[in-house]
Order: sequence, then structure tokens, then C-alpha cells
Amino acid sequence: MKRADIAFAAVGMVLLAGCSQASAAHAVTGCSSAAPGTVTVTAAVLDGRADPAPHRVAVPLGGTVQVQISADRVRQVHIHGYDLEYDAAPGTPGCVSFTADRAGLFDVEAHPDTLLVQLEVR
Amino acid sequence: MTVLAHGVGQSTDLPLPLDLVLQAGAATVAISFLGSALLWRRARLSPATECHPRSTWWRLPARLAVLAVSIYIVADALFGPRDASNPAAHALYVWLWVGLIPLSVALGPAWRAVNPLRTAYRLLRLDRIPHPPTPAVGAAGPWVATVGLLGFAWLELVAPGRTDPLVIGLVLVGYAAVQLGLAARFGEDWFGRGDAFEVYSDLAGRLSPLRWRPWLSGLAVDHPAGIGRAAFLAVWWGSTVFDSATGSPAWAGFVQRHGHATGLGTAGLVAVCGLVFLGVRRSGVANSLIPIAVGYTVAHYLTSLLVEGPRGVLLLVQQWGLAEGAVWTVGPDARVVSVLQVVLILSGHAVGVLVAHDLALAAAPPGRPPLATLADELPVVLFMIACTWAGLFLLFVR
Repeated sequence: MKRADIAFAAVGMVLLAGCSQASAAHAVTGCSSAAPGTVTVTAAVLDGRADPAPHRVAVPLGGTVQVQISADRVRQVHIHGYDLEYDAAPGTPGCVSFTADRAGLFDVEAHPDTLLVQLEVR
Repeated sequence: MTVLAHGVGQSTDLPLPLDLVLQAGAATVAISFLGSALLWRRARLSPATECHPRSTWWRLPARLAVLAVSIYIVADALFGPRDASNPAAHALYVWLWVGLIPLSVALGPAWRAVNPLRTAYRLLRLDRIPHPPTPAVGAAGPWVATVGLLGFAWLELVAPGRTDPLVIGLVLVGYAAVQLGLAARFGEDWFGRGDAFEVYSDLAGRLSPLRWRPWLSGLAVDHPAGIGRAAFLAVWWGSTVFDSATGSPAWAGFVQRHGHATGLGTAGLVAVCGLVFLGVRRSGVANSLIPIAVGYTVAHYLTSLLVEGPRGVLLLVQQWGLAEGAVWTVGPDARVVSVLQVVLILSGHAVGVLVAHDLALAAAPPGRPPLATLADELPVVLFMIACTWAGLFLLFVR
């Protein structure tokens, strides 16, 4: 009983110590030319497929990233985890720039569920 | 631009670092053989004693509370908003599926104590319907539970409308109706054998230090457990592995090239569970796979439990107009998660190996040399090493 209590308390403390409060993502939409040092990620949705095929892009924690998506018809793009959503349409690619201030692996999807890119922020 | 509180299961865990995976893989082998050979030379897990809680006053209020919450969630899923503000998906996929494991590991078979289907069964007086004596339940129960679990895994991981509250509500109503009907036919004991969630909680509860003395002896009772248990464990572990594998860009690209996402997902899920089942049957591993499944499931869903669990509570209270505008953004640090994942997987493996070793010692005739006993359990231990390596590898490449 006692040992179990101590174990639970220890696990709880580890989890609490490891917790971080993520700030809401500060994001700018629009395909303005990216500032120097920005990681630019480009992908396209063609015929319901990602082009190039879904892959991973490494992004340094705290760095700025611009995600530019072009599409052959109007698609809603969603960056998971940062919960950013914007539209891409034929001829007018959708862009968003934000600071990657949360570590983790984040899907960039064309809705409903076409995976385009995974951002690996570390 | 809109900000979404999007569906459940958007994992944000980083892949495990290579050095951690290699060290853990090596440690797996060392634990498997050295620990059992040097430290554990006689069977210690029998006789097992199942300890029941001394006080029972909390049972009725707890049962009624869980029944009330369940009815509310189902009604809300059926008639409430059909969007991401509905807590139905969080309730089923995070609170119940993931939350039940830590709860059961700590306290024992928690779902048996509060199962809303049991409460409904009693309130509806279904026990007055005459039913045949219990042995008739024995054969079909574990298979129904396995099919129920596979159906649940398919709904959570493959089904196109998996986060649609209406779909979730209809599935839950259908599941409750089938289970209550079977229980009316076979008696209340049915739930302990045929309700997937109760079997799931019961198996995880075998690890409870409060429930079983000596600790872990719950894994040594009812051994060998039969083919139905093997199938249940194969679906449990296999579906979690499938979820890890399908999070990778490689799987997404494969599905995009070939189309038919639902068909490929269904085939993949059944194939992975079937392969694991073959391995379980060939190696003869059964209860010792429970700690491995528990360790891997908690490792895989740890972030989901800590991030999406509270988020579901927030969605629920926001429906009542409370805490409007509040968001749950607290998440565990990615490095801490990596270390905890490895610790959970290795702990599950260590416990599984010790239990397999103990069962082999208990089955060996007196005077059999320890090395011969180790040879007896070799297929089981090799299969468990394969499972643990597969789990580590998937969390590394994901």
C-alpha cells in the first residue's frame, strides 16, 4: 500500500515536472516571401494524393516555419497540434507562417484525411 | 483562419531516439534471460489470493453515477451537436479505452464493479428471465468479447465516421442492446466473459498490487487460458501496433497510391491481429502477454490520455455553459514522454518474462535443472522479445 502510494506520487511528480504550457500558436497567413532562416515546406494535393508522397520535415524548436500548399481544387489544410486551418485553391496556394514552439510530430493534412507532410519539431 | 479543437488521437509524440531504442532493445534480452536465470529460481506466484475491497458502500453510488454519465454521453452523442464540440469521441476512445487501463492496473477489475451494462441489467430486472446454468456461457463468451474488441478497434482506427458523435452513439446503443440480450439469455455472468470492456479491464486488473497477493499472481491463475483469451490478447496488442504503424507517412502514401482507405485499413488491421494470433498460438504465450499489452498501450496512448482526456472533460462542461473559452494546452514534455514510453515498454516486458518463467517453473517436475526450464520457456520468451522489439521499432520509426 505504502510503496504503491510512493510510486504513484513519483510518477505524478515526473509528469508534472515534464509538463509545459504551450502558448497559442502565433500565425500569419499569406504567401509573402519568407524571412531568412525560415524553414519552407511546400507540398501539393493532386487528385486526392500528396505530391511529393507524404514525408517528414525536420523543424528546429523555436524556429519559424512556412507551410505552402497548392491544390488542384479548393481544399482545407489543417496543421494538427498547432490547430491552424486555411484554404488552398487552384492558382492560389495557401500559406501559413508560424513559430514552431511545441516539440512533437505534427500532421499537415488536406481535409478530411489526406496526409501531406509531418512536421518533426525538436 | 479558424482555430479548431480537432478530433481525438492526433498524436504529437516524437519518434524515440535511436540510442534509447538500441539500449532498450539490448536491455530487453538481458532482462529476459539473466533476471529469470539468476534471481527467480522457484515459483513464487502461487498460491494466488484475490483481495476484495473491505467496504462496499461506495458500489451503488459509483454504479449509478457511471450509468448516469454513460446515458448522458450516449444521449448527447445521438441528439447533441454533430461536431468537434461533442465529447462522445473523447469519452469512448480516451476515457474508456485508455483510462480504464491505469485505473484497472491500480485498483483491479474496475469496470466489473461499475459496468453500466450490469447496472442496467439489474435495474431492468433481466435477471428474472430464466436462463440455463452458466457452463453454456463458457465456450462462446471469449469469442464474442474478441469480436467486440476487434469491432471496437475497427471503429476507432479504420471506420470513416469514427469521430462522428451520431455514429458513436448508434454503435454504443447497438452494443448495449446485444450485450443485454445475451446477458438476459445467459445470466449476469455473461458480462465477465463476453463484454469486451469488462474482459479488457479484468485482464489489466491482473496486474493490480491491491487486488492480487503476492503481486502479479493474478497472471498465474487460470493458466493455460484457452484459445479465446489468446485471440483477445492478440487483438488488443495487434490493434495498438496497427495504430502505431498507420501513423507513419509510409502507410499514408501507400493508401493514397492505391485508394480504398477503408478496405486497406480493414485488411491491415485483420492481418496484423491474425499474425499476432498465430504467434501467440505457436509460442503458447498467454497471460504473460498481458503486461506487454498494458505497457505498450499506455506508452502508445500516454500523450493522448494526458492531453485529450482533460480536453474531453472541458468539452463536456462547456456544453453546460461553464468555462467558456478555456482551452487545455498543457502537455507533457516530448523528451519525458520518450523516456516514460521506454520505461513502460521495458517494465511490461520484464513483468511478462518473469511471469512466463514462474509459470514454467511451476509446471516443471521437481528437480528439473533451471537451464532445462529456461529451454522449456524459450519459445514464449522469444515471442515476447519479438513483440517488445516490434513495439520499440514502431515508436522509433513512427
